[in-house]
Amino acid sequence: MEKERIEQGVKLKVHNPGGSVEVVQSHAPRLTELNGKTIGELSNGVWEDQRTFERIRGALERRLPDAKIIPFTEFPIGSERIDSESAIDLLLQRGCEAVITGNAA
Amino acid sequence: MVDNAFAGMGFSAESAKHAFPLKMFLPGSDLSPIEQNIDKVIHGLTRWQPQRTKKATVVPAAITVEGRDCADALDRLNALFIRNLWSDGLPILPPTEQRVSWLMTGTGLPRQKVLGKVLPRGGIATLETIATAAAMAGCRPEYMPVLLAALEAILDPLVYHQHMQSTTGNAHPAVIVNGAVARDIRLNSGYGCLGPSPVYPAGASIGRAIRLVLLNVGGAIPGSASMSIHGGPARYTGLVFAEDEAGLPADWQPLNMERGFGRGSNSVTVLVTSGGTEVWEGAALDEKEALDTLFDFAGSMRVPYGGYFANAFNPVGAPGIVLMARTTAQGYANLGWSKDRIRQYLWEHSKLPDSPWLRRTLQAWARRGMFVKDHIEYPMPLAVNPSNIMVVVAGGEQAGHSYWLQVHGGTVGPASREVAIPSNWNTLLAEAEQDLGPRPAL
Repeated sequence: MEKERIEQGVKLKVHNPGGSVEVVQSHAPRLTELNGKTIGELSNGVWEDQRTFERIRGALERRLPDAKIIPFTEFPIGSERIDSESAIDLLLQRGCEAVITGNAA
Repeated sequence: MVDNAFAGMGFSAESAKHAFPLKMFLPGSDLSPIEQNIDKVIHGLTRWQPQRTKKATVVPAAITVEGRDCADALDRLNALFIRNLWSDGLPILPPTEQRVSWLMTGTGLPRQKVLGKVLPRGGIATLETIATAAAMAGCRPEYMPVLLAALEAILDPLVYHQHMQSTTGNAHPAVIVNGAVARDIRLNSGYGCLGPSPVYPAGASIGRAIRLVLLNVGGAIPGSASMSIHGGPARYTGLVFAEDEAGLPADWQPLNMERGFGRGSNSVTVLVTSGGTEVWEGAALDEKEALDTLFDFAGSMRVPYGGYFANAFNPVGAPGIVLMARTTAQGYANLGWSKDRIRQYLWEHSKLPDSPWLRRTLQAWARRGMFVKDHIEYPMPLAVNPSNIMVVVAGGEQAGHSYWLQVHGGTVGPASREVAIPSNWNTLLAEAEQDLGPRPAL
């Protein structure tokens, strides 16, 4: 055990167990305004998504009358399915400029 | 959890989010907090800005702890590791440079070699980071080749470790080792092979090191990134054991050969499992007893466990691992049974009958995208083919109890890796003999 005697005791120097992490991507720039924009929903298919997304959608529509919100039911559902290039392609194809996900996904 | 997931995808560990209490996501919950906080959702999509905007590698700093004496410093270190969530809750050994260097002698590889990223956090598993976990877990250098091979297998896309890490299920890897390396490092294939043993100490330390990598590098802290509802005792030291190759009937292939490795090769095979069932009693002294024993075993497989269905229709999926003691296996072999015939019997007799539960569960899995099949034939087999059932000879010497380790629903299939033995192997084993005494006889 590596230990260095110091004046009144023992010093232990140890490796950090967390390991390095790489930041290789930037978060997408935010939109300046949501009115008039198209917002997509993505769900993993559990955690009461049918109720929570409906309430989020309703609340947003009341605040943003000109925003178009595409329900999660119009996109693939499920952890693996939403974590795919095809899901991103579909979001782009539907004109989504913002996405709400992470409903405990 | 969300920040971890962003880190795992290569973003800075932060995200535009608003966290609601978990109870809001349960059936019949009060959803009014959504309306009350809708401004925060809008803020996340419009005004939120990340703190870190530059690409970088974030290297954690070394840690120094001081104490009145060695015991005090060790106590303080353990307390610090618990406060920082770098522990499994049990006391750890300090991952000093001296101990980490000692463990690295068991690899013959550079310490900056990268095995991969461990999700959801996306921590980079270098050999040094793995040796740090191994040091904390009490590993010895000769354990390192098996530990590295097991982690390589866990990071195989087939294992789909990100699901194992974050699931609400009780997933944990089962690691089965074949080849002479198992005996070399004192890995248990016999009595109590799934549990603790001072005679065979390697499995517990290797399994604990795997768990510490999954916790610390992968960030799978229970309740925040790992949502496993019960966790399970196997999450402490895992299930790391060897096939009892010396007890295999002469014409039965060991698991490593079934997985495509040569006879005598050193390998690990990982399947993510979710728990086990003891199946008792049973032997195969005559044909009737052999059939009765297997029929009872199939009954333990044929249970309403929804986790089977994630890959019951997947050609490489395995429904679980049959563990059979050597005397039981020998009894079957004496009656002319091969591993394949045992698999065929179990596959036929473990099919699930049609039921409202089965249809409801299949429908739920289909909605979550975990399997797609238009037409189900009932009774429904647990795997595409009998060969998907893994049969491993392990356990104490006498016939009697067998064991069924059921798959975790969410993995794709088992993954195997060859164990790379370093050139200083004999020296490491000689040092182990000096420290631990002679290796136990077969």
